[in-house]
Amino acid sequence: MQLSRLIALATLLLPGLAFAHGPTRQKAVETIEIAAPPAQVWAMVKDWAGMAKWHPAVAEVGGNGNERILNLKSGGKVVEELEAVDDASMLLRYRMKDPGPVPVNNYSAAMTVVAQGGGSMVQWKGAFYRAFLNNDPPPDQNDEAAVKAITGIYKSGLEGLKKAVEGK
Amino acid sequence: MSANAVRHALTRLHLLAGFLCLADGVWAQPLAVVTEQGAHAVAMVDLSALSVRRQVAVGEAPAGVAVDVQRRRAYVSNAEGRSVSMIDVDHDSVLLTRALGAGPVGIAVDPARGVVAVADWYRNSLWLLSADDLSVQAEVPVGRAPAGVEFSDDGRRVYVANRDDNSVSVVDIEARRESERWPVGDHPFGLRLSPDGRQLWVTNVQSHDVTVLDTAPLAAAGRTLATLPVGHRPYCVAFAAGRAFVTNQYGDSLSVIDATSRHTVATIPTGAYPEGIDALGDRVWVVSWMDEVLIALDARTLKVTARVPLGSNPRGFGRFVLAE
Repeated sequence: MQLSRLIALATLLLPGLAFAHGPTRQKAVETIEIAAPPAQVWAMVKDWAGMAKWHPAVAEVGGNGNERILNLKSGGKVVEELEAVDDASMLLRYRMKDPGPVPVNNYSAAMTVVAQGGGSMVQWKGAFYRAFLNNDPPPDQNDEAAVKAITGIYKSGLEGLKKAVEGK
Repeated sequence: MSANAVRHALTRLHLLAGFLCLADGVWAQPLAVVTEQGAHAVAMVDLSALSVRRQVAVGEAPAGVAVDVQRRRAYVSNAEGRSVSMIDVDHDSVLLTRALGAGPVGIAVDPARGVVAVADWYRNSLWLLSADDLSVQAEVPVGRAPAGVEFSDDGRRVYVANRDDNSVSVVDIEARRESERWPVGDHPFGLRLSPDGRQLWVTNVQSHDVTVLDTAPLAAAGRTLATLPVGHRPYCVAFAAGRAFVTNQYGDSLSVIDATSRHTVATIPTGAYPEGIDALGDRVWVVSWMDEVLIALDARTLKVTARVPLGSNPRGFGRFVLAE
């Protein structure tokens, strides 16, 4: 195992550092238009355990209640906790308890659905830190890697959501 | 008269003088200097015109900011750039950038004695610099992952929130060492003195509460006066109109607390991921990091009165509002 990964893993095991992160927060914001009524889109977004129905990277969803475990097709698991669901504003907020293979730390996000044109617009916004807890991160755990990974998750996910809702 | 009270009195005088004074051909206006971490710049926000008059490039990933009304400057910590920038707020220009440590984040200035204090996130220390030229006077070990920094009214002490130590370090400026360490809640980040200088309010990000500490030198009953529940992930706190205003990062809200009774008055929805907060007179200014906007709130009516769009990933961590 790469030394940097070993160090990162070791620091995650040390008490009190499980939620530690560096000083620079990153964000990713992606949107998509879906040709379907907002209520229909919202029904799929708010289905907390139903992510495998629309996200192409997710094989199966486990867990229970507010915690879901995303079993990824590529292997590895991401554990997420639901923070808020608001039907009135069609807003879902959640955070990652364990990012698994995703190169981020302290990740939280929100998905919203609004009416747009004759259909809907979905916005997915996330806040996170790079995976590496200290200075001088290796390239696969730096800020760019974190932003690229989350942006990819959002883009492919929103495309998948659009296909699932529009029934294609 | 405490330095805080002097500062408030000066604020009122400056607000009046601002209307009457012409300096360097520019009308003196109240100003906010907001760090834009994603833009590697600060926004110089004219708070009368409610617009960004200039974006000034600084180092990489600026986070913390401290304004100096005496020297007409702002000091900015560049977290990834590992440096501190000194900005002339009358000419919107960078005067000096000093390389500093491994992770400068929280920053504060004592204008009267000319000291800038900078918390180093990775070195677990507090840097003491000269406000004249940012030369290093000392590096003082504090707790782990130090974040927010605040001077005492008399400038003899600096309080530092140790995020990964669940404590506040008290640093003696003259002795250049930590003299006390006070336990607070889980993952303290921001902190601010009450207007009378007697209490230190500390926001604890992971216990979702505020610890109110007694700063009196011989506090007999123990330091913690109260632990006040607030919203989800509180980051920073500021005072106006007899109230404390706390930004709740995950709650997308402000908790408004009566500073005397310590009862929660209201929880106000604000922009998403609010972080930096400061006050001028009866107006509170909130930086929404996710929505990238500076929001003005009337501290009495609790109504939003203005929004000023900002650049990428704005933080405004520290005291960022200047009376003129």
